[in-house]
Amino acid sequence: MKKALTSFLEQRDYFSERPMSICPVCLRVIPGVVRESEAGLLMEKTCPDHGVFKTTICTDLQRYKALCAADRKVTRPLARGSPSEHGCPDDCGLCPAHDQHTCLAILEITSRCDLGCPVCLAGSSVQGGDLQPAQVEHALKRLMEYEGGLTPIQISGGEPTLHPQLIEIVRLIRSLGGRGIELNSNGLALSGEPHLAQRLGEAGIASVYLQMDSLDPKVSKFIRGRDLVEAKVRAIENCLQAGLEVILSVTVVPGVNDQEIWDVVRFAMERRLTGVNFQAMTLTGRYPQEVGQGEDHFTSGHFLREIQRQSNGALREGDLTPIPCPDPRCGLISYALIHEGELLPLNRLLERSSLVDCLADLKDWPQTLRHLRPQPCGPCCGTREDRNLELLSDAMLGSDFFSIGFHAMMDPYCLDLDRVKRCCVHELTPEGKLIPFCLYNTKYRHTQP
Amino acid sequence: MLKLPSKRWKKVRIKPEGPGRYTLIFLTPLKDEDELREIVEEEIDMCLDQGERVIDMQWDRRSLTLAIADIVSFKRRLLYVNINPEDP
Repeated sequence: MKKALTSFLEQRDYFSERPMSICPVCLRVIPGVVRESEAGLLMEKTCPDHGVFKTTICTDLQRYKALCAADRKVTRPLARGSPSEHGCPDDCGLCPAHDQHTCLAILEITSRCDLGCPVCLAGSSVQGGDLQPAQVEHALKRLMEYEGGLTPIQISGGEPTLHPQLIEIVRLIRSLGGRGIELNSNGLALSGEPHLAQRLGEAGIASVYLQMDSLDPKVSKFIRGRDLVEAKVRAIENCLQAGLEVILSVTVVPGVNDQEIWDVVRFAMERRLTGVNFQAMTLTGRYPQEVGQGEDHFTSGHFLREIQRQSNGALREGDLTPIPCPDPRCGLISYALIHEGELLPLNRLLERSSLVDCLADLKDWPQTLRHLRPQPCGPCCGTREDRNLELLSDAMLGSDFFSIGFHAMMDPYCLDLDRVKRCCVHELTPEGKLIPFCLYNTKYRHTQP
Repeated sequence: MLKLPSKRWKKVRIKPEGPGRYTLIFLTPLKDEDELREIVEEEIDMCLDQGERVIDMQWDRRSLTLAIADIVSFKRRLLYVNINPEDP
């Protein structure tokens, strides 16, 4: 009997997770259950009014369990923006139930965009409004109260280069102590106005988070509505010439560009860009119905599998670490060197445990190197760690730094409230509230004035 | 959206000038002489071993003259203070 029960449990690979989620139609909180299926690991949930919803949350149980078990580093904010009356996710701002501070605040200074892409998580179009600098200042001062200073800021939209006071806003953020300010852009203005990158750099922009999904014009047309490949290349050249760092931001659409992951990484490496961040297409805002079925999600498990396969092992699954500040299912990162033209992930030189502190809050390279710096000789002399650091030092000479990230963004189909509570990428609203970015897109974006 | 790590670091070229003597030239633009002095005090000094020293600082050439006993170790230490010697 005991043998039969053990065998039954092994076959079923019993997994008892019961996430709390929401109904994708009415957005009420409903419980879900995680099940294995031939299509992968699914979250299944039932709304009393709108029926059953099934969503892929990982390729398989083994990868999912490994992600769930990864290390976390938690730093709580100094103050919260909202009291807890109705519970998560209805009091967001952040409420006392939130379990992580803000690693990145997204500040959308306009809802207008000059592209109107077929895939847009915000559903932006030419119609919309701009924030006034006074609203930006109010929001930033609230953020400073929560965090004890400014966190890294990403200026976003819509398309922020359409905002007539963009330069003034960048200077304002600088004047409040903002450093490493990032601009999230489609690159059209940066490609067409060669001096814009220079002006932005002088005002205080450090890097451009450039949306670029593919090197294939047909894919660009599908996702963005136009062939933008040449424009993106020009934007990259203009930014680099102006001394701005460039990070490519790739929206992965299953069945459309999920086979181009490594091609985009190579493209970025060859141009000595800062890195590439991939993010899953979400079923929020605007998306083509033919690729936007609730069940199909490109998850962290898919990314791990694909990058190893497409790179022929140049980047292996184990080279990517679950990011320790949010829920480990939400993001993956690899800090790497470009050494003699090839990728050399840092975890191949160092113990993963020595990297985890650097990966929390995704510390910049200067902070990371200071953290890893060999300590003066002591009882640890001649230990394995010292030899590893020697290897790292040798590898770094003449190399360049690079990083590859994956953000497993959520939408109303796959939303998991435990993941929401641990989020560290927050929308900063004009009222000065902080809302986890995926929750903002799912529930709050269109309730904003 | 993720904030990937910024790699804003200072690139330098190191040229041998004689036994144990080197010129370090900053290739990354520096704002002013104060910035150069700050780098020397807060970063270069930290990388010097016993008997090694900064002999001279030339702002007009964005360079330093250094007495270094072990150049390989010195270059390694520079990396950890965010200074990247150019590939020789």
